[in-house]
Amino acid sequence: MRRSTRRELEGLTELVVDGVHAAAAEAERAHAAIARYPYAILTRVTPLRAPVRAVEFVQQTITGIVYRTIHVAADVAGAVVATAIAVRARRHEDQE
Amino acid sequence: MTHASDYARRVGVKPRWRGRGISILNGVVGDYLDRRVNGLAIAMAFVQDGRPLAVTAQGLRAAQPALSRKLVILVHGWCCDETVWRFPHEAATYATKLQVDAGYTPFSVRYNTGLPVGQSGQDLARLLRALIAAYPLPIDEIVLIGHSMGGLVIRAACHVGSETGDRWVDAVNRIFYIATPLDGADLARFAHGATLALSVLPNPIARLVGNVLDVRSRGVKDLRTGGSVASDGESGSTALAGLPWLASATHTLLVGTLTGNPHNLVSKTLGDGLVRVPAARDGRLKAPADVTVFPGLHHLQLAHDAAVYAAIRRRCTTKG
Repeated sequence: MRRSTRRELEGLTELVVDGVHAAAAEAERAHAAIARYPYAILTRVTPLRAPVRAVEFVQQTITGIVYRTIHVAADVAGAVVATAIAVRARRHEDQE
Repeated sequence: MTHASDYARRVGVKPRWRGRGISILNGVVGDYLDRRVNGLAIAMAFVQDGRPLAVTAQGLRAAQPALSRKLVILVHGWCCDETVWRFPHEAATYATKLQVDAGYTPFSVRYNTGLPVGQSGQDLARLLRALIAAYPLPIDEIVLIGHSMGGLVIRAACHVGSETGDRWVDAVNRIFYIATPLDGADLARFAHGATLALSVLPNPIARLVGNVLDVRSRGVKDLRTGGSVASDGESGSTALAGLPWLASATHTLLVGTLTGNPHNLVSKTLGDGLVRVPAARDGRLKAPADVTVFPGLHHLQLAHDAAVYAAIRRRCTTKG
């Protein structure tokens, strides 16, 4: 593997990982804003306020975990790909 | 028979799709790639046969066995690389044709088009300084040809070169701006307006789309106004459109229109698809510029067309 090819593959991996992080962050922001609408309406009904807040908390916790999982998975996948590129490059150097 | 990709692999030239993909990525998010020192970020360089050219006397002699005292330098536009200059079905470019027809030594620049135009102008000025220092012959003449954003980068480089008293500036006697949005491009203005509008709408989806649109590079954002250069001794910047034109050179604008009739509504509204003719002829230019319109040529075609080349050659082979 040529050095420039390795650099480009590493760059592409970093770009994809950063892209996933940025897209997940934007999607989470939009998701949270949209999800807030029905809760905002329902909490105006006094008897429903407490259970709705409880449901909102559970929903926010679950979606937060899902988005955090996406971030972690992106980092792990990025690290695996970067390692694979490094191993492949080293094997190529040894062959030469 | 050797397959083209085998040959490319052997000599270390990237396959064309890969080079183009990287150029597009640089155009879209090149400022981010540069900031992160990402391996995909393109560093400005002269290129030959797809590879960077060593700007040393030895490197130049090896690349161009017959050096002359007249240079022609091509600077491509946004999201492109030097292959945009290639004529269909042949390897020739405006520069290599000028070498055959008028004895110019051709050079092609490749750069990260996602960087601000002013920064690319500084890089080009630095590159030309290095070229002049390394060039084994005295230089009588430099012709600069820029396509689209490339014309803006040339304009920024000339300003930087003039300010710093670079020797290469004195040798520049002709500049061709091909499909260059000298005072900004409508499409870039539309993208800017759309981003602003979406970001103020009280809707999360609209804001999401606005944020995604806003990811575009500073280079493409500069196309809205035509770019700017850092002001001398100030923290601010000066718009390129308001700068004086390099006095030692003649300036030629070559622009196209989508339809065969440059006076119909489509041509007047859309120009070559990205740059309108009236934008290039705007009174603000106030330059000793001659403008030639090529009806029926779209934005990218203008970078490799026989009629455009004929217009360039005519001017380069005419005294004065």
